[in-house]
Amino acid sequence: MAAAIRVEGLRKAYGAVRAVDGTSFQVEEGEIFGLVGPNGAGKTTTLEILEGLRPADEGTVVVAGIDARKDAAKLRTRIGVQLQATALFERLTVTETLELFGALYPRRLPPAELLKMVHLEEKAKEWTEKLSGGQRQRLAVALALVNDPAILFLDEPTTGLDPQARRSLWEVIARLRGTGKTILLTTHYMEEAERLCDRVAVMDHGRILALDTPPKLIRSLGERNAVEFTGGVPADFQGLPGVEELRAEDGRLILYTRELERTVGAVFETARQRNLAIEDFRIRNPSLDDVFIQLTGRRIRE
Amino acid sequence: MRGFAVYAIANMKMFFRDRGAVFWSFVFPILFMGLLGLGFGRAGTIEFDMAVIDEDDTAWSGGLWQALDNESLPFAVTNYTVEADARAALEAGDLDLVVVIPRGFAAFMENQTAPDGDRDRTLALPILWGADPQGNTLVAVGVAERVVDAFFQATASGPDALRVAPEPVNSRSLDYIDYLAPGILAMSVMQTGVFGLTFFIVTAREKRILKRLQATPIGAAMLLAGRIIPALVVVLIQSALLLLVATLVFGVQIVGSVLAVSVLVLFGALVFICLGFMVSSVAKSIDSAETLMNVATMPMFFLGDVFIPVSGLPVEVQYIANAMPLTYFARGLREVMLRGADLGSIGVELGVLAVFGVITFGLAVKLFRWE
Repeated sequence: MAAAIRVEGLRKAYGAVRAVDGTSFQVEEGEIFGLVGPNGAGKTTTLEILEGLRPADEGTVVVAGIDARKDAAKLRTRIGVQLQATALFERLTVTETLELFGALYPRRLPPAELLKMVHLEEKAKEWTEKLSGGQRQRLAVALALVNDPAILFLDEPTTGLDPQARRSLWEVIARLRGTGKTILLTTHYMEEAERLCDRVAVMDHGRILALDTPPKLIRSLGERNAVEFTGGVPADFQGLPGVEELRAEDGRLILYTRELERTVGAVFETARQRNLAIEDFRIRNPSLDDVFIQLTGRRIRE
Repeated sequence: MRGFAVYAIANMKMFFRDRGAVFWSFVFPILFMGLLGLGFGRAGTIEFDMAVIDEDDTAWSGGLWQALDNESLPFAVTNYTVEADARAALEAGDLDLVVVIPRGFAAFMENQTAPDGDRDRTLALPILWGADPQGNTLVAVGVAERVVDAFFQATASGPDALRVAPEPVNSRSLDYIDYLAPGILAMSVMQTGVFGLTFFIVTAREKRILKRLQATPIGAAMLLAGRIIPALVVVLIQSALLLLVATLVFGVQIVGSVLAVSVLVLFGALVFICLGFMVSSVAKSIDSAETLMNVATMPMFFLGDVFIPVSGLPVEVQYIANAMPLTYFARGLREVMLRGADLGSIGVELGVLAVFGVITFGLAVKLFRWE
């Protein structure tokens, strides 16, 4: 497999802020690759440099065999882009919008086919301003596909959507996997990255902290479960059996354990002894969220 | 090329689907001209028809008459003997102003005694004046006042005791519409030009549509051209409608060639599109763009030779008016439409507009931002 995207030593600073601080990664052809991290981690800046929309300070960026820093004009015909928070022209229908964007490219797909790809066939004649948030986002993905690009950039495609709209967009993206397109997406929803991405790069403060498949990243935490609840402070639950790690996040306590039963029993026993009210108690398998906490010491936030 | 056509046509569709834009571009100018045209109809132009009523009938009053009838003054003086007749003519719009030289004028001039015998040292000289839609007649009153002043200074000694007493008389006047029609046309073209591109760019930038377009192969030149061409089409339709109403409803005669008018209209539209483009490059938000556009167009709206001839403005304000591109555009249109001038003979106006357009375009390009 050839690399669809190759980034080496990429740097971009805004004044004293190092938005992208020496990142390197490769995205293979046909792969769905996720850049995850909180707001301000440098995901969007990285993406916009790769799209040729923003100049970099340093580094190598090769997208579809084109030097994105030198030949942005050529690059634009090969890639499809969905920007964060899509706005659309008013007073155009969905089909007209697709025709308008299609007209800007030498090669384009027919609107009907695009609408089918994003499950928006029944909205073909609708005014864009009448679409729901989820439908707008799916139209934005259709617009990114308008020139049948080999590489697709999706910047936080599901941010701000309700869970149902989010799942429906996940379906759309998952179906693109079969078409051989390379997809680079950013998200701060770990669940989204876990579901969609073949590989994930965890980003914070402009650096990539870890890069692997989601299962491998999670496994790197060890065969542990997470016990989460509110009630008490970390000092109350120090030294419980089986607990390998204890964290406090937003008033919630997270205990990582290899001996779930013993730990859970000990938690409630301790709470009873100290007269603490345990609320919102949850046991879960470790997720990418926990990977992020492990790597940065804090929880990812919207 | 096909792609560009699709893009330009989409822009055109967006314009015609915007009821507000359609109203301001097509309906408003016609309504505006219609209201002003019906209100003020046809008003006089450069020569002012003046009547002098000489109640004194002495050498002194004759002298003042001579002074007012001077060829270098913009007065066509006729004689009326009955003030009521003069007032009627004023009301009918046949006269612009009436100067009454009262009985006892000679006595006042000789020893500054008022007609009633009191030495109250002043004499009021009534000047009646008619409709003043353009501010013209008031200027004429001012000129007459100065003539009377000068006459007194030259012939009498002692303190400045002769006064004029202007008195407006309701009347309808004619021919103002001929002046107005090219002015409204110029104003409408300015509005469409300035607003057309600015709102598009600033809104699209604020909503990040520009940035999305930047990610396509379109490029800035095509992006703008695809918007400017529909704007020019709109301007042509707008001008045609306006001129049709002006000629068919208000009987305005277009003396110059339609081709010359069209070329001038397109040229003016491009110049004002450049101004709008500059505003869009400077403005940080839709709100600030709106403010800037108003700041740029409002003074021109009032002072740019649309409703009031520049010569009718106070001298200080004339300097400002003469620094406004709309003044030159309106003047050029008027020359072509009313006097049949060809484009070659309005070189000064075209030159000023071209320089203005090039400067604003240059600044706009320099300051242009995608986001």
